Amino acid sequence: MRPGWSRRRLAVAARSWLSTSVLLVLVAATASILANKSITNVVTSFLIYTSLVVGYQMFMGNSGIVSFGHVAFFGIGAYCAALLNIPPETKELALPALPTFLQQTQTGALPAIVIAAALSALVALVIGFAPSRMQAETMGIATFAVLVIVYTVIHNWEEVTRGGLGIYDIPPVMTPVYALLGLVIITGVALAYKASPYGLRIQGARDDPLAVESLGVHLVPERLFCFVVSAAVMGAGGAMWAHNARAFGPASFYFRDTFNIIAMMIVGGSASVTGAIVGSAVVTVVSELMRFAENGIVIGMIEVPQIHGAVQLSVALLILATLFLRPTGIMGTGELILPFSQWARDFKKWIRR
Amino acid sequence: MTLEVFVQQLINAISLGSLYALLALGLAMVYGVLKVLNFAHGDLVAVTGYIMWLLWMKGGVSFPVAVVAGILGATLVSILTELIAFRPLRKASYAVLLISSFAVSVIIQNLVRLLIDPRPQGMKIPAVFDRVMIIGSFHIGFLALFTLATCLSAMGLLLYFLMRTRWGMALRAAAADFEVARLVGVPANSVISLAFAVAGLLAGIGGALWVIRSGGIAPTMGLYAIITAFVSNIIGGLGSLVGAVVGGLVYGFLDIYLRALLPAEIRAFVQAFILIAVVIILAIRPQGLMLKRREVSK
Repeated sequence: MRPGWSRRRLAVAARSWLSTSVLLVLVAATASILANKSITNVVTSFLIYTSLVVGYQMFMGNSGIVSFGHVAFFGIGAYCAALLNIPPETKELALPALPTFLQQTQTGALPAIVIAAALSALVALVIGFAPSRMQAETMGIATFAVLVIVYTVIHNWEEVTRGGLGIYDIPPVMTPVYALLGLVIITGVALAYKASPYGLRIQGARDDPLAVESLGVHLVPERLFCFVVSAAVMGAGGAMWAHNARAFGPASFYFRDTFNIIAMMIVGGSASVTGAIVGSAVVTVVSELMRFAENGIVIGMIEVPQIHGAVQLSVALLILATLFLRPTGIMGTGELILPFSQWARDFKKWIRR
Repeated sequence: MTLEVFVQQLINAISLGSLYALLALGLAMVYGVLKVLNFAHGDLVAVTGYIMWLLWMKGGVSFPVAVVAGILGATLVSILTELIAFRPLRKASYAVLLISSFAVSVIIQNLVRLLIDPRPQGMKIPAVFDRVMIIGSFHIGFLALFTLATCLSAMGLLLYFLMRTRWGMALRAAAADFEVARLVGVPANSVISLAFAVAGLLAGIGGALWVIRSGGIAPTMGLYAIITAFVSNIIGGLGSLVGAVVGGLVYGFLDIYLRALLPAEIRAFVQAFILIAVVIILAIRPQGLMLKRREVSK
């Protein structure tokens, strides 16, 4: 007896998608009304980074497996999209050893994002085969190897990635509106996946693997599918990120960002898509505030010296506080649903009065 | 590769493998008792390294004293890690504990950055470790032999402790079945602290050797140690002490021989090749080399 598509689940997913989208639009609109350049930048990077967190949530939230390797797909997506969309003149100068067909093309942002997602999915399919066959506990650790493999390749494949020097001149086309659009689409995908039979089966494997297997569900293909889908979304997120970053190197896709993304998930609530978004917002705000401390600030006459590692330290303490006080995260297992119909009724009453 | 080189590399591989095995063993000890992987285990290597650096390079203490202090420091930090990150979460799931230890790892790294120094530092290593011994037609580094001897004696002592002492038996009992061990009178908190202390001791010894090999320290150096320990554990089979040792040795062999055999132009990718080899091993035996396939996947 395998679970099928459920209209009720899809309806609930659609409602929380609508609610989340409305809130995200409000955030983006507030930023554009303020029209402050640094706020716009923070909001754009927040929206893009949140897409990555949602992509990661699709794996960890549904399968319950802590993966340390997903940032690798973020990196693959970013490099793939960048190589497709850097102007040919720059590529001739910076990457003379690139194959000619790649050197001469400039696909534009949207095809680059789609191809980046496809490539990430392909890599995940090849490399995820072995980890998917392991025990759940071991799989998460094995994905750590994926992170190191991809980092090593990016860091040393100088003909294609310029190694540690990094690549530059990616057209910065990600306006807040595009970033918002991307995140809304990705949130929709994540909510639909969670409500789909595929999502249900992998959630069953998370909660009670034995029971799910006894219903005739094979865990290995379900895990692999979840891994691949989530990697594709991470790849798309990475491609969007690349179109906002202009220039980047391999260091962006390693331990630091693995930690950030996991922190956002845990603080918001790993079993919830909206939790990933809320957690991303909380951690972004905390990090932005602590960044001042890290760089040293002058308040009036008092000079606060640089505090090295203040951002990571405070985020790590935030994780511990969450785990101690509310292990399921801010959103728990629920999704955000705004009571629009209730509000509409209240509004009508208020009009009549 | 000539026969001489092959034999020399063999000694290097066993030596490096035994170092990896030592790091993996500490992780496996804790996993045995608590059924959780301690992400902060790798940072104990950094703790050892920084204590050695502070005492030996800055404080002018003699090298052996600095090493012993580093090892004791790692043991202490390991016990503290358990008190801070694991004890309040005793009932929590595997994923929660893994992430909690991940946060502790980041805290240790950043405390090192904040309190000691954010930049990588070089460490002056006594010249005796650079010596090369010539036995017949073989050139063998003193460091390789020293590492091997240290790791083997540490493992021997661990074996004696586990097999022949009262507390060692308590540890094994707790690893086999924690609830039943408690029923027959093994104190839960003490045995968990003990597992962390032993793990810290092993990580400290491994860490000192690691630092002597690399001749430098950095706040994030624990990352490489933990990757090694994780991967060694899953090669051998998670939860098996013998598996941890076998996994460490396999990882050491892959490391040394791939470095020696790969053509120069792709040698930079050696880390990737090692891990791809590991992934291939695990694709064939997903449960690890030393474990039997379980009837029911958990």
